[in-house]
Order: sequence, then structure tokens, then C-alpha cells
Amino acid sequence: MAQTKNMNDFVVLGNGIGIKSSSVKHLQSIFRGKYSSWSNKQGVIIVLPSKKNESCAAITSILYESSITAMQKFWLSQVFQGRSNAPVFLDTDEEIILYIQKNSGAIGVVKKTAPNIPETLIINIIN
Amino acid sequence: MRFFNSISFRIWLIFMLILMSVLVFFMIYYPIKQKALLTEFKKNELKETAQSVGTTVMLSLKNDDYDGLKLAISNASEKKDFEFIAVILEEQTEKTILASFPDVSAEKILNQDDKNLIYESAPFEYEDFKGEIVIAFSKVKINNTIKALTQPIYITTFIILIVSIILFYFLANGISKPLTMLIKVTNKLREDNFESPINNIQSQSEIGQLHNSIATLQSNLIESRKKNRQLTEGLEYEVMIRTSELKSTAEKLLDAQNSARIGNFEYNISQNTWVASPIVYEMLQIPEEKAYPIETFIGLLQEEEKQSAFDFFYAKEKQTKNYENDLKLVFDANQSHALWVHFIYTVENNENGVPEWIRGTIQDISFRKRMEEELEELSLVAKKTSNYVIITDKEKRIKWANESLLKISGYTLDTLRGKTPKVFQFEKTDPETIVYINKKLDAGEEVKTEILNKGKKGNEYWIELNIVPLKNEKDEIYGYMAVETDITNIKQSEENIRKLNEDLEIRVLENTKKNLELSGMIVEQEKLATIGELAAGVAHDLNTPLSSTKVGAESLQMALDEIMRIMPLISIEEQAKAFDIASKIKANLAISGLKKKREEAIMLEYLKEKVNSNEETLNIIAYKLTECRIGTETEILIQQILNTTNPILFLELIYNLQLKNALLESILISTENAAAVVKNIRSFINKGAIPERTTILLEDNIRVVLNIFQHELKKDVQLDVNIEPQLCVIGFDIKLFQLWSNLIKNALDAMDDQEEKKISIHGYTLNGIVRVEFSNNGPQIPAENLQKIFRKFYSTKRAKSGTGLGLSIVKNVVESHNAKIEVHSIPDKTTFIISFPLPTSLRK
Repeated sequence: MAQTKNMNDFVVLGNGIGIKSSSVKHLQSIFRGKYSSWSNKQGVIIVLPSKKNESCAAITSILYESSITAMQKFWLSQVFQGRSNAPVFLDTDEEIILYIQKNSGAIGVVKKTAPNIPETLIINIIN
Repeated sequence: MRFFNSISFRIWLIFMLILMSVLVFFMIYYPIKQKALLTEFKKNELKETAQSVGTTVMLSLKNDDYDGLKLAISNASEKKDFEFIAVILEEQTEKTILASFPDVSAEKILNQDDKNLIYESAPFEYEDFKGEIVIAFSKVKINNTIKALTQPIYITTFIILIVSIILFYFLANGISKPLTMLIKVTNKLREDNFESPINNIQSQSEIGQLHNSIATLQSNLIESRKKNRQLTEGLEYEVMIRTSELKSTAEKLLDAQNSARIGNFEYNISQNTWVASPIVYEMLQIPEEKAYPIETFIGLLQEEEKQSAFDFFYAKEKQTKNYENDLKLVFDANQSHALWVHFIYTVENNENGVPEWIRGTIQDISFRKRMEEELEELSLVAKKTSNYVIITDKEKRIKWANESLLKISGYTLDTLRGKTPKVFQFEKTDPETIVYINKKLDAGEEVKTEILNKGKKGNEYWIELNIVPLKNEKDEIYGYMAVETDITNIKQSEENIRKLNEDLEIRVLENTKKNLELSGMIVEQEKLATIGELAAGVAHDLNTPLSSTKVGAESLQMALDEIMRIMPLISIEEQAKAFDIASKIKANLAISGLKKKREEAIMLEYLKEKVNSNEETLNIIAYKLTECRIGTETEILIQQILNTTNPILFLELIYNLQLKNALLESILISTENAAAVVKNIRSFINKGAIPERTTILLEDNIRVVLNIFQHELKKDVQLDVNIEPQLCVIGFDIKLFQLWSNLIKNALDAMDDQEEKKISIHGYTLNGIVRVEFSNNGPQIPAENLQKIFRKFYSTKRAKSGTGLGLSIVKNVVESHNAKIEVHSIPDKTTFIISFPLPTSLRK
């Protein structure tokens, strides 16, 4: 519940990924690299806030249920073994929004308070 | 086995052992060294890779950018050289494996105890992350790489080994070959075999020098041996030649003795025995067995010589000098068998000065003696013969002459000696004969000729001269011998005969002239006789047309009378009509009665159908119409005739007019025939006309003659004339008349006694020649007479008053036309073939 409550502070954006709503569990799977492509064959691009972003720890806690270091180990292991593509780490929400707008298949998380969130890219969280 | 003992093998083996040692060392050392170097190289490479990956991990963590790491792992994995690469984290004292690529067991990574792997690691540290990158590499791969690297080296080394084996073999062979050869040669020289060849070698080394020395030694030995052999052979040959010459000389001596019939003898005075060459025994006709006493020889001498021989041989003291004598040996009492021998001998004394031997030769000189006798006889003949004999030297200077010549010439032998036979020649001697004699003698040939000579006293005499060159054994002329026969009397007789011949020739010419004149007369007589014989035929030919003319004229008179009788009885118009019909339809006087009757019956039937009249009248009209040759096909004309006032009279007028026309035509033909006969005979006998050479149509020319002879030919001769139309010759028509008439007359005379008579005349051209074949089936002319029949006055029918000029005239006519005549005669066929040259205008 706490997670869900926390998730309310964030908005999940997706461009051309073929879904308009998703559960948190499903989103965790997506952000943990379980899928390499969408149902419309579009490649999955995970966009996350970097360590410089204040939301990094919170989002890592929600999506990976671990610390930032653990998340880094996770992605270091995944990339080292060639199991999935590494996420794109961006410093600000604006960069994250802009990136998602420009790249079809990109999915990312920003704060609800972030400016200029395009409504069309928002994916509803289903409880 | 021989190869393994050879020098080549030994040299080759040494080379090969050294080479193989080098190669084996190389093949062992090289892979070990390679492996060590490669392992070191790989370790360094792994170290660098681990360090590179560690740095990449640190950068990824620092920048949150894992693309570089992904790229580094991807590059490392593309090489696939390593066994695995792993990230080990150190947390406190514990090592954990963060990730490995590919996945391997943690123990394998952490323990690093696999002996087949080479391990290398590089540490990294970033913030909370501390650890190392471990990378492992398989030794097996290094071994495989070493294998891959060394395999071509092994193959190359193997090839080098094989090539070296072969090269070393040839090298060893090349080195050992001259040595081997020199050893062989040396061995053979040691065994006195000098002929074995020494092959050239190219080496300039000590072996080459040794080879050259041995080769020189061998050639020197061969040369020495050859010289020895030649010397030996030369000596043997010389001995053989000398022996052969000696034998040959002995044989030649014997042959010479036998040929010359000469032999040697020796007489032992003290023992009274003699021995001699085989030829001597043969000459003396005693066996060649033993030594004979001297009496055996003396016994063969003539009686008058025996005593002196006894005295000589039995004398105790003899002078030592040469004796020579000709002796005659007799072998029987009658001396019919005798032998002349030439006896030469010498008395030889012994060491005490006592005569011991008589040695000498005996030669059979019987032949020489006979020759001398014959020569003496021949000399006598030459001296005493009535022929003149002269012997000259080769310059033709007289050396000797016999008595007969001296007598006729009046010279003495001394006068003539040294002079040439020109002394006998004078102005009447034919110079050409002298030139001829000299020319023949200069050529070394014998001369036979006649020449007129003159004696010292001016007496001329003809001689038949035979000069023979005298030659020595070298075939060189050393003189000449002339034997001359006096032919003065013969020459005088010849002169007399020549004069008589000249007189005789003059007489013959005169007589021939007379004969020719006579011959001309006879020719004319022959012609006249021919004309006379023709006269009967001509008379017959003339009589026939004249008789026809006479009969025609009489008949014409009767026809005209009848016309004159009828014409007043019919009208002028009908007269004109009758004349018109008679001019168009001709009478036929030669129609047979039977045919006329048939036509008459047909006409009667016709008239019965067309005309209504009594039968008698119709009969008369039918008869008259048929007589006038008017048939039922001319229906309109018959109707016109029947419509006349009096058809019967009208028809009679037509018939008489037709008859008149026919008779006039017949009379004209008969007259022309008579004129033709006259023309022909005039042509034949036209002697006064000057002959003129013209183009003559042969068929016309021959027809004229055949017409003249028509009377005789028509009687009983089967005539076959076939002459090509337009066949012409250039000539004289009258002469050709003579030619044909004589051939016809000749044929008729020849066939006179035969029942079946045939004459054929064929004229044609053949190969540019106009040929006329004139044949009859008279009896065969004997072959021996074929050449005589063209002679003048030759005749086989004298009994039938033939003149013998007919075929002579034929031949003359033929020759005057540049033609040829030949005659072929077989039983029942004689053919004269006359060949005329084809006129130029007719040649193609």
C-alpha cells in the first residue's frame, strides 16, 4: 500500500508502447528488463532518473524495491552478461519527458509535479 | 648391395646424417619455444583485456552509462579467445561473483585451479564497488595454435628433407662418378685392357687432373700397343709378300720357261749324269724321273753332229768358255718329227781347276725356225710376184720395191730408195685420189683405191692399190706396205664398154623417141577403136528416139486427120470447150486394158443413174469418157459434156486433141534424147578441143560415159552407181571421160565370159580426199601382175585384140590430175581406187 501511495507522486509516461494503463507489478517487471519489446514490436527503452535526480532513490525503491547501489549492481550484472539493454539515466524530469517524446517505445517515470507533462503519454496506474 | 658399398652412398650418408640432425633439433626446439612465447603473449593480452573491462565497469558505474561496458564485453566475446570473463566483488572479506560471461560455476572462477586454464585478473574500485575482473584462457587453444603454426613448418621441413636427399644423391654421385670411373679404368689398365674408353669429365679439380693423366696414359699405352701391333703386322705382311713374290717369281720363271720353251740343265762330267728343268724333259720327250747319261741327249742329234758332240763331252780337257749352237733333234728315223733347240752352256771347273760341271740352257726354237723359213718363202713371193710391192718408212720414203714394180716403173731400187711414191704420179693422176690416200693413211687406216701412175719412160699404167700401215707391238706405225695390181687392161676394157654404152644410149634414145611416137599413134588407135566399139551402142541409142519420133509422127497425122474430120460437125463454142478440156486433162496412152474396163463399167453405172438413154449410147459415152480420162468424180464436167449437141463426137474431138498433145510431147522427148546421144559422143571424140582445167561435177562426168556405154551396160550388167551429189574435182573433163571409159571397157572385157556381171561406182570424200571406187566382179588379177597392168603395151587379152594401152592411159590421166590410183584384186572382185585432191574451194 505504501508503495502504491508513494507511486501516486509519480507519473509513468510511455510513447508508442501500445498500453494506456498498467499495474505496478507489471511496471516493475517492465523496468527490471523482463521485456525487450512491446506488443507492437517496438523495442523497449527504459528511461530512469540518474543519481543526480532527487527522485532517483524513491523511484528505485518503488520499481526495484532496493537501493540505488543494488539497482546499479543489478544493471551491471544484466549488461555484463548481455541479458538486456541498460536503461537511459537522465538527470532531470524535463530531459526524461523530452526523451520519451522523441523516442517511440520509451517508458519512464517522472514526478507528478514535473512541468509540461504531455497528457497523451501518461499511463494510468491500476491498483 | 653394390650401391650401399659405393662411394656415392658413403658421401650421401654423411650429408644426410648432418642434415637430419639439424632438422630434428629444429623440429623439437621450435614448438617449445613457440609455446612459451605464445603463452606469455596470451597472458599479457588477457591482462590487458581484464584491465580494460575493469576500467569500463568503473566508468559505467560512475556515469550511469552501461553502453561502454556492453561494447567492451561484446568486443571481448567476439574474439572468443577466453574461456570466461567474470566480475568478482569484494564485500568486506568475502568475494562474490557479480556476473560471468559465459556462465560458469562460481568455484571454477573463485578457485582458479583448473590446470588447463590460464588465469589473469585486474582489480577495480569505485565508491562502494571493489573487486576484480577475472579472465581465463584455455591451454588447449594455445596448443592448437602451436600445432597450426608448426604444421607448415613440418611440411616444409619434410619437403626440404626429400629434396635434400635427392640433391645430395646427385651431388654424391657427381663427386663419386669420376672417382669410380678412374678406379675402373685403373683396374682395367692394370689388367692390360687398354681399349676401355675414358669418358670426359668437366671437373677442373685434382680429380679432373687425375682423370686427364690417366686418359693420357691410356692413349699413350694404346698408341704404343697399336704401333707394336702395326710393326708386327707389317713384318708379317712383308714376310708374306716376300714369300708370295718368291713363290710367284718361281712360278713365273717356270711359266716363262714353259712359254719360251726354255729350260736349264747341269751335267756332272765325272758322273756322266745330267738333270734339267721339267720343260727340258718335255722337249726331249723323256720321263722326268732320274738323272740321265749324256748319251740320252746325244742320241737325239742328227748323225753328222753326234760325233762332234761325243768329242766334246768325252774330252778330258775342256776350255772353260761359253758355247752356243742351234741343234736339230730328231725323234724318228724319217725325221718327220724333229725339234730345233738353241743350246747355250758353260764349262765350270772345280777347286782343283778340273772341269766338273757343264751348265746351260736349252730352248725350243722350232717355231722361230719355221717362221724364218716362212719369212724366207714370203720374201721370195714378194720378190717374184707379178703384183707390185713397195715398202716405205713412216714418212712414206721408199725402202724396198719388188722386181715387178722396178720392171713396170723402169727405176732401179737404188734410185727409188729415199723417194716417195710421188715419183710415180703425174698430171693425169687424180688429185682427189691422192688426197684420199693421204687422209686415210694419216688416220692410220688401210687404203684401197685405183690410181693412174707413170713409169720412168713415160709409160702410163693403172693400178689397184692396197696400202697397209705397218705397226709395231705398241701399235705405232713404223711404215707402210703397198701391194699394187696392174689393172691397165681392165681400165681399157671399161673405157671401151663406156664408149659402147654411150653409143647404145644414143641409139636407145632414138628408138625410144620412135617408140613414143608409135605409142601416141597407138593411143589414138585405141581411142578410135573405143569409138568404133561405141558406135553400135550409139546407133542403138539413136535408133530408139528416132523410131519413137517416126511412130509418133504417124500417129499424130492420124489424130490430126480425125480432128479435122470432127471439127466441122460441131459448133465453134463446143470446139473451144473441147480444146479447153484437152489442155487440162492429159491422155494416158499406157493405161492397161483391164483397168480401163473397170473404170468404164463404173462410168456406165453412173450414167445409167443420171441419164435417161438407151444402153448402147450409154456404153459408147462411158467408153469415150474413160478414154478421155474423165472420171465419175467430175460430175459437172460430165453433165456439160452430156449437154452438148453430140456428146460422142464432142468426146472424140477431146480424145484426139489429147492424143495430139501427148504425141507431140513424145516426139520432143525422143528428139532431145537423140540430141543428147550426139552431144555425148561429140564430147568424147572432141580431140581438137584444147583441154581446159575446170571444176568438174563427178556425177555428171561419169553419167556421160555411162550413157555412151548404155547399150552394152543395159544388156546384162548390174550397174550400181552411188556418187555423192556435188562431188567435184579440178581437171579436164575430156581426159576424165577417157579415164572412166577405159575402166568401163576394161571391166566389160574382164567380165566378158561371165554370165553375171556387176559394176559398181562409188564416189565420196574421205579425210580431204575425193575417192572413186570402181569395182567389177571379173576374175582376180594375179598379185604378180598388179604392178604390170599400168605398163604400156601390157595386156592379158591379146587374143581379144587388146592394145595394152587402156590402163596406161588411165594412169596418165590420173597423174595429170595429181591423183593416185591403186588396185586391189580378190576372187570375183577387182577394185580401182582413184584418189583426187579435194578442190580448195570445198575444203573446210
